[in-house]
Amino acid sequence: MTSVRQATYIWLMLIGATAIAAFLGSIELSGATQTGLWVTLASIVILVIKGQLIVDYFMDLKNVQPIWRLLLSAYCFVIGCFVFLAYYLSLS
Amino acid sequence: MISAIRSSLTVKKQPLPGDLAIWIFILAELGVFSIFFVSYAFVRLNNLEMFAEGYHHLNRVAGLINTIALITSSYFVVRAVIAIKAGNNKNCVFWLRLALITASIYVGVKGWEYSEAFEAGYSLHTNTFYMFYFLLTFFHFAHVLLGMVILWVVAKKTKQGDYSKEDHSGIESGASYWHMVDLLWIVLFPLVYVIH
Repeated sequence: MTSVRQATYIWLMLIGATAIAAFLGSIELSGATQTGLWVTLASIVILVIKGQLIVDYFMDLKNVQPIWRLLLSAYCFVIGCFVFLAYYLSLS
Repeated sequence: MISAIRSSLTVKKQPLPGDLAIWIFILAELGVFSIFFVSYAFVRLNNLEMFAEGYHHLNRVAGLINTIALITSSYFVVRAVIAIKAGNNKNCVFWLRLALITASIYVGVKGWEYSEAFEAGYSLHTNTFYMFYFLLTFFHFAHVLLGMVILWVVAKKTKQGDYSKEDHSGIESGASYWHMVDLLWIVLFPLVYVIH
């Protein structure tokens, strides 16, 4: 079970990660027609980390039957991979 | 992700929070949204200029405020679940109400964002980008509204004493649905408001 202290730390981490993602998006705005490779990759890594934190500590799936945690954890990872693949193909 | 795979290899026995039915519903919802997310990413491939132009007209500050509102609302729901597990119904209702207030910030900002877009002449029929933008974000918006109704009902039932330290599966189910809404926005935010 997630404790109050744990939940508060996770909430602050999620807010921090969101601020970083928003900052990454804003530095790309100066005339660029497309987001840079590293900014895109970083945004997707942040997405996967945030998703894992929500699954483990907010949904409280860290210690349940592993298949449920795996299904939910894989969701952000797989979507992130597809988004990156689509972005990567758009570069060529 | 790696730790999730590792943990899947070892058997742990803590029960799933809430009802099994809500988790099946959550998986179905995630599946439907995944089609939208992947379609958006791949349709963009053939419409790079259109999507870049559409992206530059989006209000990214509104997107950021909504992300913070949903994450914070989810945090308050976690606090509500912790409170009911400690047998503190009054505290649980307090956190659920706080979650609803925070969620209404999302509703207000999103409504304002839509009105700005409509006033500027953008609609579902403007182009492919706006079709995806409105469909994807409005579909999520509808889920937020449904989640708010669930949280309101759960708060009302908690106040009436229908849930307790021993019996709080309904609160956990409502909380799980609300976290799913948050999880979907976590994907939607970089996809629509960051990557272009």
